Amino acid sequence: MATTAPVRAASRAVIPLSVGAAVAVVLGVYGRLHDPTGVAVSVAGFSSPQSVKAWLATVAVVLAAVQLVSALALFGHLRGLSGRRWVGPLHRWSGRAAVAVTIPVVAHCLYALGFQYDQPRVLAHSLLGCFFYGAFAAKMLTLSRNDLPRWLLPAVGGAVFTGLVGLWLTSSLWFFSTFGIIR
Amino acid sequence: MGQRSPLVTLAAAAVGLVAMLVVNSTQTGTLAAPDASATTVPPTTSAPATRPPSPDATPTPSPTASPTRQIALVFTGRTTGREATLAVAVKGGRAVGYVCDGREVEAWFTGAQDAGRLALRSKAGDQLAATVAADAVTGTVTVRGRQLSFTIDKVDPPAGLYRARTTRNTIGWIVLPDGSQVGVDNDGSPAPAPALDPGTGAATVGGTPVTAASITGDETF
Repeated sequence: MATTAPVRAASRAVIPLSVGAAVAVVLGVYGRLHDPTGVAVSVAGFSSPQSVKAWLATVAVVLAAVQLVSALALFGHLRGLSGRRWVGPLHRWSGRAAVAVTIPVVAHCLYALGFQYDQPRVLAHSLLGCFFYGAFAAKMLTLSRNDLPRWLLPAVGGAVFTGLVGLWLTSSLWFFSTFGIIR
Repeated sequence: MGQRSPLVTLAAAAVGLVAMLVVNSTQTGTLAAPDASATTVPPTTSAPATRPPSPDATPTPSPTASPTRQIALVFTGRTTGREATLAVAVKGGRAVGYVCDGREVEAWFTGAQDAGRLALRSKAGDQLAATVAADAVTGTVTVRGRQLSFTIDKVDPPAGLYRARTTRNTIGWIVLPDGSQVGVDNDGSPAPAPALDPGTGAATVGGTPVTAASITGDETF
């Protein structure tokens, strides 16, 4: 029993991970099959859809930094913040906000641009976009269960964070360095 | 840590994404819908007329049935505020656009023409939306976050749009009806293009001779 329990717990990790993989694949297939329109509904107040997306992604990355710090605190790695009651809600709500601001971005990406691979940056961005939402789905499913191996939550959380930072580097940073920091 | 709220979050994110996509498809559907029934550049007199009446003739005579006869239309001109020069080439259901300032700003656009409406975009995500008439193209182009409107006129060779590629550079030229040229040589850091001989397509880039191709509208790059 002592030897089988970890194996079983590890095998349960297959469920959230495979659902996450399925989400990533579905997004990629949609992005490839849907004929990109070049235009999509955008947010008012900015000069172009690209600048809106660059700024929304930047907001998401800032919130992701909050996620990283609050997650470290929740796992007891930050002595100053351990035991503070507001850390849990902060982690949850900054995470929800981060995902919420990415929704208009990914909708524009998928609808107007699609999955592209004609440049390394664009290929990396397309892959990371699919990976990020797959990792996000896997993390949400991981959180909803008690019987999973303990390494899984930090692993998928780290995957979400890595994916988002990669997305920001391949889009917003590129945008700001190409066009300047414009609104 | 087992709880339901992450599932709610996940569901909310999924619903939000689907809602955004639905809004997009309802708001921009008119531009996006690929519709082959009216892919015609201004009347090509011959195609429908020479076809004998057949029993299965459809109500809309379809010029798309003869892709080899699709003619290329090229338009060049300046934006309304004279900020930039641009060219649009339309052939069948495809179109290519190029906008540049002759110094450091440029963008190549490709995309579809559908019932006289152009929806082109660049690799950087810049957009060019326009309406094609027999003798002019009217629309807007977004470059570097600036939206510029334009009306440009149909031109005949040697005026038009030219493009050359080397291993490192992509060079675009717009030749205007008065013979003047505007172009950008882009090897990562854009610079004014060298002079082009529109007749032969010959130009010299950094000491190396290159040959430019006349863009007709159905290229992909």
